[in-house]
Amino acid sequence: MKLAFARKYRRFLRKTSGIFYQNPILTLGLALPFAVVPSYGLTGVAAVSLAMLVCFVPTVWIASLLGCKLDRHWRAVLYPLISCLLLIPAKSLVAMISPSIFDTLGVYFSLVCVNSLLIYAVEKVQLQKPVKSLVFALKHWLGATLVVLLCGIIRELLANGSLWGVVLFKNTPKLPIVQMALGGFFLLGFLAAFFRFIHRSILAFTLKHEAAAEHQEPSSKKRGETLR
Amino acid sequence: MNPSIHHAPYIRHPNSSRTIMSDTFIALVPLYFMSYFYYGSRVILVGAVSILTCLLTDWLCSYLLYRRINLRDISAAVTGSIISMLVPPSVELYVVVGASLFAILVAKAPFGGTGHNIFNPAAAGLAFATICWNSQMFRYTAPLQHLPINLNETVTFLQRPTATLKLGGVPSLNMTELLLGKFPGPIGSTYTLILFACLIYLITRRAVKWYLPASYIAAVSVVSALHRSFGVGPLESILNELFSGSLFFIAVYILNDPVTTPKYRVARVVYGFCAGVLTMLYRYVSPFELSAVFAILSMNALTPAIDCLCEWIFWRENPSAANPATSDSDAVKGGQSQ
Repeated sequence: MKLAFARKYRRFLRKTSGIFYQNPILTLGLALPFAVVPSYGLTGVAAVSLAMLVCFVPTVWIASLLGCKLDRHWRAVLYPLISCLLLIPAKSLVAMISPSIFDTLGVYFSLVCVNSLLIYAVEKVQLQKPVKSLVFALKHWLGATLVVLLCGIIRELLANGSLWGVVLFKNTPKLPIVQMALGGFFLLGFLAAFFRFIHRSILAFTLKHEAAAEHQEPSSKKRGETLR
Repeated sequence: MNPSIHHAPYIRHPNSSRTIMSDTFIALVPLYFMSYFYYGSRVILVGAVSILTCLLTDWLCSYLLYRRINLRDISAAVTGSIISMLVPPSVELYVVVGASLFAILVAKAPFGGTGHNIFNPAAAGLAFATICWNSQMFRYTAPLQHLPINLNETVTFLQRPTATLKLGGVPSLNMTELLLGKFPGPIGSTYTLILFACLIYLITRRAVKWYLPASYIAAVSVVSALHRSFGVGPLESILNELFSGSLFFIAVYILNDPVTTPKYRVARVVYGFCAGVLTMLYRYVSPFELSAVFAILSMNALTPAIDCLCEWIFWRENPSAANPATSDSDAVKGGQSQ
């Protein structure tokens, strides 16, 4: 019975690899500035997530189509270049959400097209089929977006007591440090530790029950022998 | 031949982390009495909240990290009392709780707890409170004005002399006021005479190495003598910079944290001197009055580098020789944090 639970949990992890398991930001530590700087509030999160969907996912898919036909040195140049080209339509889309976001984020907005997550993903899908690589890219985008969204919600609530500009808590003490990059890194570290703690607790729960089951088995065997 | 095998450490010393922390805590108690005399029972409440928050958070972190809860370890209590000494008497209690939580949850526990922290927890907590609640942290009251537990509109808030110094002015304080701390300031960090007595006690008990605060104060004195206001003598400038704020308290209690200071004697002197220069630089440039904690946090990050530099200078010629820069009583270093 406990083994069934462990199998179910492992299947869940396998299916959600890139989202909950092997998360690109919390587990692999990729694109950390990208996760920290725009997540000062929900507006920044929405803008950057949208831009990443437009730039990151097609670039990874193109990378799987090209496969290993290109030399490694050329790949490092070509894929960021493709991502940069895709940033042009992404920018016009993002301007519809928040026109002032480019002034707020500055150079960090451009990190969408040149970051460690992109380089990791395009190298990972070299030998994968296009459909599988598309799923891989979407999962990693979703994983990164969920983390950035969580960071954005927590940071905006703690710093301003608001969500998407709508004030929810007026008279609570504010923590302006959370909206600084320093606070973002702290929060990300605590989130990583928290999710690791949850994962380990589930594993410990499974193992504890397995050990208990093993402990029970010999006694039941003995009981069976005496009965015989 | 002794067949029994023991694990490290092989070098023992009568000073343990508990004795050093106990000495530091004892040296903090007179400051509470003086602050009670000046500001009333509210300071005791602030101190109790800070110490309790630090202790409870430390125990909770130990529990969560599957470490044994050590009731004999009072380093968290020392952190709490240092935090309470550097906040104004009129501070709201949530500021104290926030600073204490940050000190233990962010600056201490994630690095491995007592004896393993890179940054001084009290300094980190105070820096956090300064950035988050700037207006609360620099809102002082006049001494001998007994504050109610719940602050009301009758309390008058003042600026402290360091704000005047920061603006390029000269605070009008005589020597007696400077020595007795009879001017608006933090709860327990302006009583120069008591601080001197506590420093002598700590040096006698070997909880503090004399050359570390000496190098820090020397650096502050040199910079303040060189960069003095118009019409002010060098000595007056030095006295004002040293004793009209929390600088001397920080030199005695935060700078001497055995965990975050370098290992070697020369390295400690360099560390203290650089911290002093940085303190004055931050005081002139940064928007905050409590610049010393930021300077010490910056120097904490450089501690391993200073140690490496010291090793490179002294051991490069003769690696097999005993290190001339090592202090004779430094074998007990580690195992404590303020």
